[in-house]
Amino acid sequence: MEQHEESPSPSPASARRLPSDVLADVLRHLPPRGLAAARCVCTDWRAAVDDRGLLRAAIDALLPRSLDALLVNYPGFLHTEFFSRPAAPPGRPARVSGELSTYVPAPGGDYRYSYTVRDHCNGLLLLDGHMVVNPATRRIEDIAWPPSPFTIPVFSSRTGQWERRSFVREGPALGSVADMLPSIRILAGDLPAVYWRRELYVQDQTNFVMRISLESDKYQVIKPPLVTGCTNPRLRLAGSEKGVYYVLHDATDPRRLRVWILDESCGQMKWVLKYDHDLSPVLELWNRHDKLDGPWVLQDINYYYDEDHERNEEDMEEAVDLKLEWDSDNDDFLEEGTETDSDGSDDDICYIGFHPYKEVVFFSRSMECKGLAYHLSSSKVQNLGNLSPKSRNVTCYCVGTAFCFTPCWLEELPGSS
Amino acid sequence: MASAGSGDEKAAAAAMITLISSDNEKFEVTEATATLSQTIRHMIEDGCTDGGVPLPNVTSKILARVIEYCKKHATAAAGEEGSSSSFSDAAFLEVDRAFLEELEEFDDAFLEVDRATLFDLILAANYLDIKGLLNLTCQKVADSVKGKTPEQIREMYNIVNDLTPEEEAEIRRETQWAFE
Repeated sequence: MEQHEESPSPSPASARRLPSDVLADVLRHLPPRGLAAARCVCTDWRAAVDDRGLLRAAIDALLPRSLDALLVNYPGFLHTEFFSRPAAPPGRPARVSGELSTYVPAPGGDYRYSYTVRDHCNGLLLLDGHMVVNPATRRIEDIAWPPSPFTIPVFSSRTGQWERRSFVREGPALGSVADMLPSIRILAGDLPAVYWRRELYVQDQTNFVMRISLESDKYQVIKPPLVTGCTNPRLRLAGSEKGVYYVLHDATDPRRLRVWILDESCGQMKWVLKYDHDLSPVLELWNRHDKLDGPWVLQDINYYYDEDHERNEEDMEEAVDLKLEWDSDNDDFLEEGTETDSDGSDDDICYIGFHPYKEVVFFSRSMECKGLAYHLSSSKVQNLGNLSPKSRNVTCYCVGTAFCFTPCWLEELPGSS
Repeated sequence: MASAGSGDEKAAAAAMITLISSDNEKFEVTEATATLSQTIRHMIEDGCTDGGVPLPNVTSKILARVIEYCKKHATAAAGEEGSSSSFSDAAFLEVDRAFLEELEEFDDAFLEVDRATLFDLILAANYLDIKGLLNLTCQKVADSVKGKTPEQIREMYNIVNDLTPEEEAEIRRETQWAFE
């Protein structure tokens, strides 16, 4: 027994005394990076990790798989707001702060820099000034823009054909936010794009969709669905676990919601109308529901910055670092209640997003600015909460754009290796 | 009255379990303490604990430590049950928090052992199926490995690298992101 006491040289082959199952129990506690190093130690350790798929499981646990918040942009506001549930989800490494300005430096130190999220994919946010941020790990990556070589299709009058031409950039990449903003917006916000099962779906102005395969470097063009009773329909591309969707909710006909799913079976790309719902019961339910607050709250980041964009520390006490996971199956559903007069003027709802893992769409209304979740298969409605940001002087409370935020806890930006 | 008293005594006596280490040392513990081990719990349920529970895989030195852990955590479990039955009173929450902190301190101090003992504790926790202890000790070893290079891990635990240079290069290629 005594020879086991602490000594400067480790006891011989101590770790090798652990049977494979027990060694795996130990290694299970390691993050992906630690498991990768452990695989390299010896054959027993490699087997302990590989035989049970520990590395895959550890990476999966950090990948985006839950909807944590809606990121909401309001016209006239500098910061994107995080709209989420104020409860720490169990098993999460840390809280996500929506207050990007506390850890993302403004490009060029511009104090008027707008922390507006332009797009979101798998937990990564695209900000103005070619910056990609993971708010879960607080990693920041600059994208050199424009790329070099820069490949664009060029129509040649000589051959009468489109040709791909690559142009090599002269001089350094542009760093100025103001100069590059339009290009970034074209890449992100203005052309809705969905990333689903290693394919990129990009919607163009005429509602055609380009399905770009990132593995084969090929793309396919998909015709828009045939929309009856609507000229120039405003289709919105969305991606969820089951597939790629087109959502049609038009301000001219706010009581109708149509959702198509892209059928990719048999190699043929076809939009299939999956839901065609009359939203009248939803609106009536919502009009009767006068409770403003709900389980979701805004982090109200904008409120804590004054006109000069200075962070107002005195007011920060209230701004708790909120984080939450929403259980869309168990939260308070609106119940059919007592009869009231339905008011036709209250049709001001607009579609703001599609749940990344469920057939649930999110609506907001501009008058009271509440958030609502609508379950497509069951037609159930949930009140999310008050979507109107606290404000000092800006009075426009309507939601501009919104993104469904799915946090990614991987330390490395995916693909950065 | 007298019969009731002896009945209580009987119940108390029945709630004691004798554990026998590999080097034949006997330990008397309460059933509440012993049943933190799923292995022993099943033996009690099957009624095969009369005359003591032989534990041929656990030395007296390690068994004493394991019992120390189980006693502390059995009290904690009993305390939790007691407080949850009463209303979520602020005073109770305060007591709970103090107790949890104390438990954490106990665990930290408990883990202050040399590596060989730590490995023996892991093996005992695995054999006796004590989830909390297994988790605690495995985490401790994982923490010692975390952030280390394969070379440092081998040196720390005196492990011979039996991977061929080709195999090692292949592993590094597969997870290149982890070695940058």
